[in-house]
Amino acid sequence: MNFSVGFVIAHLPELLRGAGLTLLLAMQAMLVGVAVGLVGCGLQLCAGRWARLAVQAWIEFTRNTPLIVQLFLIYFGLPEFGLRLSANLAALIGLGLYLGAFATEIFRAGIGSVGRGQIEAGRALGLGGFQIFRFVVAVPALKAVLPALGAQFTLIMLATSVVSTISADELASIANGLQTTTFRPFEIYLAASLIYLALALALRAMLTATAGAYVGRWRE
Amino acid sequence: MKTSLSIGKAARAVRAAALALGLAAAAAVAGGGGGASALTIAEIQKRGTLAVGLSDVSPPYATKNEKMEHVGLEVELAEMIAKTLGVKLRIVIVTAANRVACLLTDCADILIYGLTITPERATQVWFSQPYAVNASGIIAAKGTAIASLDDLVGKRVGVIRAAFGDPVITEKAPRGATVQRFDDMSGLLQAMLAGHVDAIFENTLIPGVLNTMRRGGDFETKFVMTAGYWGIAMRQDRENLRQWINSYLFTIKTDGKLDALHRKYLNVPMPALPTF
Amino acid sequence: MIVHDLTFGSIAYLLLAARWTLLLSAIAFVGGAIGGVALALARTSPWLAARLAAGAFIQTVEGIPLLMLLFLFYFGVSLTGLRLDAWTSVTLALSLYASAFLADIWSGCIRSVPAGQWQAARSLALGYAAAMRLVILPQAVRIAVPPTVGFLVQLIKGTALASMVGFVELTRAGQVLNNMTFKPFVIYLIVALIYFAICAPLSLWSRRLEARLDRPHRA
Repeated sequence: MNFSVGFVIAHLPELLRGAGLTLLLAMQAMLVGVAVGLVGCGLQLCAGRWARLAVQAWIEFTRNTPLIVQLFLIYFGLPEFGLRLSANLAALIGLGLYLGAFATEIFRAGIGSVGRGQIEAGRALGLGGFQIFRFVVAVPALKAVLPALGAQFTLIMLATSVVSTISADELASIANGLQTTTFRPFEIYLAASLIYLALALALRAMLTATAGAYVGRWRE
Repeated sequence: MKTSLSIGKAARAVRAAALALGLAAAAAVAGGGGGASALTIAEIQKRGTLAVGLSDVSPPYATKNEKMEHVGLEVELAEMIAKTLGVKLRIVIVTAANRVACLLTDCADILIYGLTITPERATQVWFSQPYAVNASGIIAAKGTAIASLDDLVGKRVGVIRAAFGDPVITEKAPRGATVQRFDDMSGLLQAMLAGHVDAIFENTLIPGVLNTMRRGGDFETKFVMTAGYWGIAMRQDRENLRQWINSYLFTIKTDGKLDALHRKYLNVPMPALPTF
Repeated sequence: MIVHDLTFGSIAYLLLAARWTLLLSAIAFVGGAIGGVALALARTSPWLAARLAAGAFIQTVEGIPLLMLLFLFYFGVSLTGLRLDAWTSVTLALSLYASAFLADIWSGCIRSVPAGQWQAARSLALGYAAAMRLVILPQAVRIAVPPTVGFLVQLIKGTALASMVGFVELTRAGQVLNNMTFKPFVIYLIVALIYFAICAPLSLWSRRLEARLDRPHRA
């Protein structure tokens, strides 16, 4: 077997383009996931019984089934009902919903971590429901939530590789395509893996630094 | 913190690790030296099995039927080869992602996976003479009006990612046409049936497949753009193996067996298959 | 080529394929546990070299997507010159993946045992190994059970990716079935429900264990 580093270098621009697409997809999925999580959490805290049960059922389904199967359902299954999504859109929705299920729990735990005493103190001061949320609960909840969300971001970035199975555009798909044309799977997958590793390490370092700084600033 | 107990334990751990590494290295040398490039027909026959890498999601070449049996043109070709050699066939299911890795690590002896012979691929593996042809063109439903490349403007064209057709359609598609890529034949055909795409760039047998998949379907080849030939892939420098396979392919081309395979699975006679 | 109908036989096919998912998960978990224990002990040991090596290994494996690990495994295997079959490659790759994550979880649990316990062990003249064995590990194990069960769920879901290297487990069975019947929604829904049936009880158990941990514990 003739492993060639020069070959990898020749194809590096294409792989790096894939890395860019991966980061973009991860960021978009993060936004969608946080939005879904906020909605889900809001429903779980404030809505009626059936809404709460529905949200809980959706969370349990999403967290106990593989992401790849969820993507297949969205991309291959929905067209049977007339809903045809592009691969990239299906990937974004799949990842966003997946992250949203975890985010809902994270937000709920974050809000729950604010002690009862704080809320009661707020009421004793005559604050209404929304004011309590804004002045008493929001900041400590955010502090509690940020580390968990940060960890999820790295996990989602790595999970984007799964969307290659429905042919969405990102690093794993591009790597897959390259190795099929060139018949050099080892060089290509090794290069792609190292790029993912670099991205993951960089993300973790960045998140620890910024989360640490932000959380530190709000210390009472 | 370090007690004499700890240092003793550390020393023992290091010795154990060194021993393990040494054994692994010895195993590697022993294992690597043996079957790496020396596979011959005689050895396959002595071993009693032939490992063939095949797909299971590529109708009508290699797929599963309702009895969950592995059937298709490539599957039957593999069976014929093994039978003629007098050995047992061991099917190794591979995907586009791991088939070459499987071949290069001897998890399969040969690949029969719709591999178009290209110079770039030939730097990594050896191909047999062609056993099938992949003439490709634009395929769409009868109702869709496409007579030339220009008619693709404003349409979505599906192709298998980085397969032979991908660079062709990517280059030739006019501005205003959208090219969508799929991982395998199954995904591509489903996309055509589901309407994800208006047309696909694939080989000229696919309309027959699509029309069987959708009962009463009316897909046809609008026009042909390229032709590529499929070979059986094996590791480089296995001259003995390649010589036998080429001889076998020559006999089934001339005695009608390969033609019979084409008619049975593809509903077309065996086309002209040039040799190199 | 004929399009077949979805029958009870098809569902039986999926359920039988789920066997392989369970078997693969079990073997990978055991393999991962063995590796994970070794790595976790190294990660929390007093020796800097061991901590750094274990830490580097864990960070590396956690930083590569499982899909890539599965693809890469043939590469690693070929470097040693060994010849592995599909089962061995996939179970080894998944064990590697599991060992890193389990080591991360378990070393965290070891570290979360209060420092006072170490001091108490020291004051009883226990060496490092004895302290670990008699005082720290029993407590760490108790803390570790809920997240470990939680990771087992992740591992079972992870086996679905083995379908991308042609390994016939539940997800691949769904793909093959879909290829014959072209009813992706029903098929993948059933596949999802089978995964759910396997994973949801484990998730529930993990949450129950975690709730029980909050109750006071008699040492």
